[in-house]
Amino acid sequence: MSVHSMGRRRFLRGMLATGAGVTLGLPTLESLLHRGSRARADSPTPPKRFLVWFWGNGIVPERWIPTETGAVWTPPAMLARIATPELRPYVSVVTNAEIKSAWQPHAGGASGALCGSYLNDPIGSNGTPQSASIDQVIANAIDVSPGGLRSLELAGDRHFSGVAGTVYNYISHRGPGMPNEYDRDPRSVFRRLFGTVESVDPYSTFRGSVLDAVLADANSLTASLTASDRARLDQHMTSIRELETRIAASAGPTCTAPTDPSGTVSDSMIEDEFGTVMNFTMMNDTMMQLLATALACDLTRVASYMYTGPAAFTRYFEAPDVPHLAEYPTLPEATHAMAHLSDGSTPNTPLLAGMEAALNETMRHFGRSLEIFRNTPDGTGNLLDNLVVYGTSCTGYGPLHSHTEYPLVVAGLAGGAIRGGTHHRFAGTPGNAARVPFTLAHAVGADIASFGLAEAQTSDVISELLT
Amino acid sequence: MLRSQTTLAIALLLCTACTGKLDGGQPAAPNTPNTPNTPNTPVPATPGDRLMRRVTALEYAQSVQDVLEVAPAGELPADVRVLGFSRVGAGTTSINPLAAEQYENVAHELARRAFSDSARARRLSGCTPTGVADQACARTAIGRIGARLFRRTLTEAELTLYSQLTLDAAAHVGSFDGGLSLAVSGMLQSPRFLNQVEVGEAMPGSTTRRRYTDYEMAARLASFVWNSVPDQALLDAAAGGELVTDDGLRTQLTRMLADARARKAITALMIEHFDIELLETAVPNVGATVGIASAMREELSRVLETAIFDEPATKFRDLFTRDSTFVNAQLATHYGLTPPGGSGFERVSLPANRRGILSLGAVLASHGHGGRTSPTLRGLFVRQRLMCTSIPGPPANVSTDVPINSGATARIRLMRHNTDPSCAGCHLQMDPIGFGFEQFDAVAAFRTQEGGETIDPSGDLDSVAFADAASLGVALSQNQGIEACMARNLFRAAAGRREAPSELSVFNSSRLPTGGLTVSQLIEYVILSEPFRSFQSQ
Repeated sequence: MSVHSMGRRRFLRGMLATGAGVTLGLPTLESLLHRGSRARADSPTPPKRFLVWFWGNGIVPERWIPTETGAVWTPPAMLARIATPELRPYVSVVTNAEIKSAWQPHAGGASGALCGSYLNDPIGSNGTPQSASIDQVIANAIDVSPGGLRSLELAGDRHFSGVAGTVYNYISHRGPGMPNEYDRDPRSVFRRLFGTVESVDPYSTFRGSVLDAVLADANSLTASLTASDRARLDQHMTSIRELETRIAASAGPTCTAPTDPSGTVSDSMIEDEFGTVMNFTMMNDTMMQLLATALACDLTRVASYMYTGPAAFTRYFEAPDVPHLAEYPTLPEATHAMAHLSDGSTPNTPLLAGMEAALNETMRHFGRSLEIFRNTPDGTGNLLDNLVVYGTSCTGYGPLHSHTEYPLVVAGLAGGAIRGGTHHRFAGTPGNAARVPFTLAHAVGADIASFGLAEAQTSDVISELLT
Repeated sequence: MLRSQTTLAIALLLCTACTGKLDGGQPAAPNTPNTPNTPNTPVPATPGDRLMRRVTALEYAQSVQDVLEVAPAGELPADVRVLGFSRVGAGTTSINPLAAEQYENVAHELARRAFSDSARARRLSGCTPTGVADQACARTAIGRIGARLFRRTLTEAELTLYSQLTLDAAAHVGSFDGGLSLAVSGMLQSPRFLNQVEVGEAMPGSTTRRRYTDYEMAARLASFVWNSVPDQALLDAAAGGELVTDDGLRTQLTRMLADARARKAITALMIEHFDIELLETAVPNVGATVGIASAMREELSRVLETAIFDEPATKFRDLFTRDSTFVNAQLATHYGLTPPGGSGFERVSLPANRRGILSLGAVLASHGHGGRTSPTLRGLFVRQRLMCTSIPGPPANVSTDVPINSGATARIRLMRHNTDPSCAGCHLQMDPIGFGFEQFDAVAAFRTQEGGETIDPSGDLDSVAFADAASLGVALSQNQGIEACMARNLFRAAAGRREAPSELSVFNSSRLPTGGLTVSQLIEYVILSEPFRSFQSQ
């Protein structure tokens, strides 16, 4: 279904429209001041923002782990895609960390890295994380953008290799069994966030009253439900209240919208499973530009981007070093498949090299994303000065499906709370990967006592990452 | 160097983990959630208890089509598959902010469209308003439409709430039908429409279970068999107290299965059961394979619909030995068959080497590694989905860099799976079944050789020898567990939940009638079963 009706933001902007052109109503500057940040009334500081940038299929540790630690290090080839000379001051990496809460590759790894908890299904991959993901923990603990979205969920490619349970398909969870739906069509993201309508009719302006009635109806239902269903209904009602808040948001200063992507993104790119991938660089750039603007305009302060899902089958048409299938020469090998070699040679050098090429392409896209953030003005600097990006994946080294040497990237300075440019390597026994998201939550001012469950539970920041 | 890191300790763990037992209901919770950071502390549902089940995208679309005579436009929230079914996912997930926004947009647009045609507005509302403030007509319309959307007669409070909303909205937009469309858009966003809400009533003769009420049973039937809300006949049967009796349920089911909506809903459900969601990933729509994936999907759909609805004698087990299929010219060529004359799909006989539903392209191609076959994944599908055997996922830190033995065929390459005790515990349950399908390549084309070596497709299924995929199909069709597993899966889909351990015996093969059942009979078995009609009261 690709026909979009009038989007929420279109409606909202329509209500606020004061003239021609694409302008956004935004809250007053005062309300942008973030609680706990070093902002002063006479020198407004942009709020701190948080982003999860998730990719499938891990890394090649030998191409990732710098030899030196501390502030001076040389990134090996794969890491060099994101630790470019320009980005290097913003990028930190934590190594010799493992997922302490996983009994299963991919879905378990993602659950551990994002939620710090085991899946609730130890047998298969039907499970769901036992606790909320870090983006939702942070969204709950910091001031949300007034009139904006509590959090924004986006995705790139959707070549999943697993379809059961919630973790193969979603990286953002409000709790067990509560995945957050994402948007992977840049056109619909644009419409939701930046769209306009030509006219406002009385039908649109009555929508808030309809939601009031729905809430009243839902309220009277609560008493008849079981405790678990009551929690699910609460979520629904919270979602409706958020919708109401956004409808009621008042106008303020304006912010210029990015280019409408409907000129470059077509239906076939979204609907055709392979269209997206053949244009992955353009699709990724487009989505990241929208995200950067949404963050810079304070339309949201917390976001997650599932660039590719856990164990993604993504085929990189644009990466020349990814081998193609012998029977179908137009088709590059699927990334996850290359980790399950099974084609006869020992070791299978062409496919291992192919997997490395695919992951290099992944990191090139991650680097381009960071570059877009760096090029987005924010306050007196750029977005990476005030944003912090948590980059992670579903496994360490793919062919081993390992949970050791887990990829953990920290990019951006979180308003000066993050030191930047650090390689921290846990000494001795592998460290707890969940300490990285806990540290970042602390850096953006989320007042949480601990993060994660069971063996992964932590209340220790990694001080080497902080200023 | 990195590949040598697989440790013996992990290997031993793997070995003991795989018991290959029948999936025995709820998995044990590994540790008690202690969730200081969870926004809304989750409360796990009690096994066997009632469950608020959200409508799937298919149910939403069919329901509004049936009640409001329009199809939804725009993006509906995506379904989450749990235990293989969107309907089970619908019993665990909740409505997040983006989903609420999508429901809101879709509801406003479709309600406005439904009531923009005044003839349809009169038909739907059942009255002609005297003006924007016609309270009687508002109550009539809301009562009538609401009974369908909420699957029962509205309470006075609900009637008041939504008829007042109608009048307020009508005054605001200056049109009665416009006001009605806004009120209906509210009902479409109500948790009472977006979920099947059940409370149950005392069950005669039981202190531990409560049964679903007549109206709740009407809703359960409509949702499972039609992907819709009850029609007037079901609501009438509920009002007459017929749906808590075996005879009443049988009568309604027979009527419902003859309806086109049953064809759509049950066929879609069975396609989901055969787990082909990854088909388009495995057989991409580019180059030499343009169009093949969609032809394979269509083929499976036609085979299932025909076998279930047009061949009353075809039993579920017969699907595994079926000797005909539906192909278009492209798919026929792909299978090595003579293309049919016309441009569309035609029924054709299958050659001796390709028999049964498991030899169809959609099923074979969906279980592989994106362009390569995986005997393990094909075997896992058969064990897990079709035989209800529980096989744990591989543990973390296990090497999947398989080719320790180099060789042309998968059987040789995967030798270690079945000789290394650390792997064999689980893999011996999966790989031998998968080897039986190795004469079909990753996109389901038939082959006898791989890498210049002849493929050996023989093996045994729980001590029943098979020579190739065709005789593996025969072995599966004779396996007692296959039918009972289908009944269990149909129950899960029907009820939107996993069966509780105490309910498991209902789906034991010894409880099913002997001689084999058709899919329709399996559906009837599920609908008449106690776990579908009642729940464990807490």
